[in-house]
Amino acid sequence: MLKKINWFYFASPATFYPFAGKLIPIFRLLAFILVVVGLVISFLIAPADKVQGEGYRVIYLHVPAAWSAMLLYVVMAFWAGAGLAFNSRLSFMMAKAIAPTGTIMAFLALWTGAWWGKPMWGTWWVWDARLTSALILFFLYLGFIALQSAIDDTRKADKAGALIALVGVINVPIIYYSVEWWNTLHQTSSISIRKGSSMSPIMLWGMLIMSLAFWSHTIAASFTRLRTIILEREAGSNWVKEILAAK
Amino acid sequence: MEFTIYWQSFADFINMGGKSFYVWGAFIVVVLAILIEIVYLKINAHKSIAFLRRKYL
Repeated sequence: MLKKINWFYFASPATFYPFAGKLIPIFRLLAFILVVVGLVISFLIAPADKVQGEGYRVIYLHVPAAWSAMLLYVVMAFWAGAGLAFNSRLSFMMAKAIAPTGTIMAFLALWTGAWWGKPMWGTWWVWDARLTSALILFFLYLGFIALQSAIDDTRKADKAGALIALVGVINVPIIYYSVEWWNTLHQTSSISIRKGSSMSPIMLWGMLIMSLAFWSHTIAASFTRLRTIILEREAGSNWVKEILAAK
Repeated sequence: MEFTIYWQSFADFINMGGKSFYVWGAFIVVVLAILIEIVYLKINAHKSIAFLRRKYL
């Protein structure tokens, strides 16, 4: 017998709040374990790169940050779109909760990129397609946050922010394929959906584990922010008052 | 895959083949940014709850 699943059970802020509270420590612990293992592999065990020497080790921070920034943007746009489609409060809150963490990841991708570019290319920055589209991703995050906080009416702010998020999502495949479509100073991907990996296994594992660590952290951070947003937005309701009274 | 420590010494590790400024310059900012985010989220959650308690209880 198939049990009927209520897909909208967790769509209610009142049920998602405690659920997120249970998930946060799990993802935090996961992030901690993964980052320790990831750092040991990438900074202690992995050998130097044949071409780039030791300076290549920035890759273990740069790629996870850049992947997180792009992935978080897609997830943010997804929830913003779901909010527009179903007019569900929690979806908009989810999008709002993701944006600051995405901004930090986009900033870190740019920062680590510059600190990798300087020793390898001889320049901190160049206006090539990959770097420019990554900078636009950072600005899109900032635009989303700025627009949302500029509008007092929560429903209008959510809808306006959702539009930016959805329009801006076109930038993500542009970032991803920029190194193939245009001649960029930025190197092409070491891991490709179609061609597999061109890295040695130990380097690949270091990068993947660091990426999983970053993702676990971003989930924990977004959910932590989400819980605060839920309480603030649902503050008038009885279940929030019960939580406030209990704390 | 080999699981032995790659570096000859601790100084060797810190030196990063002469690229220490760039590797650690990237590293420190990543660690700081993520730590600051975690701490800020904690402080913000406490502040928000304190504010809501004053307002609604």
